[in-house]
Amino acid sequence: MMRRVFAGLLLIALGAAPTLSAQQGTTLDSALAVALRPTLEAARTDGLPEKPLLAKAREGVLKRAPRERIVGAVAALADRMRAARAELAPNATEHEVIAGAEALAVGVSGQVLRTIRVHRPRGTAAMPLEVMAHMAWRGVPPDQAADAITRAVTGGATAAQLIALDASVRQDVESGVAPPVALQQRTRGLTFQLQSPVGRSAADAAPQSMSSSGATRARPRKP
Amino acid sequence: MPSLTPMQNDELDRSLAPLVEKLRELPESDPRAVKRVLARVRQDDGRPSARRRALRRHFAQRAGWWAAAAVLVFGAGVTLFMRADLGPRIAETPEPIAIDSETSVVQASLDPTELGPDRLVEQQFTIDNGQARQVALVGDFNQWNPRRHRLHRDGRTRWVIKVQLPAGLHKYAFIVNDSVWTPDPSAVRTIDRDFGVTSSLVLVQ
Repeated sequence: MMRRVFAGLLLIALGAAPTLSAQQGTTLDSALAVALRPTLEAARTDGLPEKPLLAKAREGVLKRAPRERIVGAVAALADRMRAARAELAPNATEHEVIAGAEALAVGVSGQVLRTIRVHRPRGTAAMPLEVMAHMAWRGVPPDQAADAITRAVTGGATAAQLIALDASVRQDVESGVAPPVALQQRTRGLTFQLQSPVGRSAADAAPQSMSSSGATRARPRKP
Repeated sequence: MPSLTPMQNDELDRSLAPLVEKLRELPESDPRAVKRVLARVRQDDGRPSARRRALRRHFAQRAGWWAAAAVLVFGAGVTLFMRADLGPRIAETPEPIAIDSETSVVQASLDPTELGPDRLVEQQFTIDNGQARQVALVGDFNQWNPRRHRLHRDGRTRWVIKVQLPAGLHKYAFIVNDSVWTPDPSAVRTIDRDFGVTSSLVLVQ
């Protein structure tokens, strides 16, 4: 009797850990943790944000990718974040580094990141880069997306206008327009808006209307 | 007291010697008592005390239970360690927390669309699936953890969840019935170059 109880408890105890682990789905096993440690420690030393790296590792686990592939993906992301931080120097925020890494991943060049940095002060470069990446994933060629957003930013477009541009391209694509054509047409409209006095005043009004509860924002510097 | 000559001293020593010898002799002991003491010493030599014997008996009788308890504690420890993912060195980073009112006041003086991940925006995710028994939302915002955000059924086939997300670009997907990876049919899709599985993309503004 005693032995049976003991055997039962043993089986329950041994079975508990793997069952919970499988339910959780994103547990990093100890071998993967060991394999990732050099990359994560290097990232920590370099002052890179760890959260996206851990998220990438867990994404790989959830997608049942082999350990080597997960380690490679995390290392590649760390490299992209390093490159993005260098391009957005001297004082990129974490959000900007992550957005820059995503832009580099879809094929945007480092030069574009540098240009965005010149025209957007610290903390405000993330949104244009994210809009670029979003458009590229939607089917717009990365070069065209980068060119359109860079021109909009250098022309003084606000974040609200960039978001509106992304939304209008989305609408056009969903209604059947080819992504490159949709971006070209919508960019033309935004450029006209930025160049005309009416458009400029509208651009000035856009952020204020969004923050009618007393919010104000500094206009981005123009070239 | 007058001092003695050396001759007188020697004579005194000689006369006292038998008395000292008599005093040095031990009184005769009871041989039966000696035997009893020696027997007890031999009996106790190398044996544990009664208390220790009782403890040993206790453990011997309940060895199975103690072993089972040890195994359970070990199993629980392993489980906790695995749930903590990488242990203390690279433990899971905390979820973004809602900004407090003081922070909100500071941030309200800026264009909200310029703010980064400090700004949380409520985002609704929906999917139609009549076959689903349960649907989970996974993404970079919840560390791809399917236990974090479960959708609830809204009608016969619609599943829905509202999540507070940091502003910015996020990748995500649905997991239907704990097994089927399902990109959001209404969102932009990403071809995952890292792992080869398609996800969806949302730009939270």
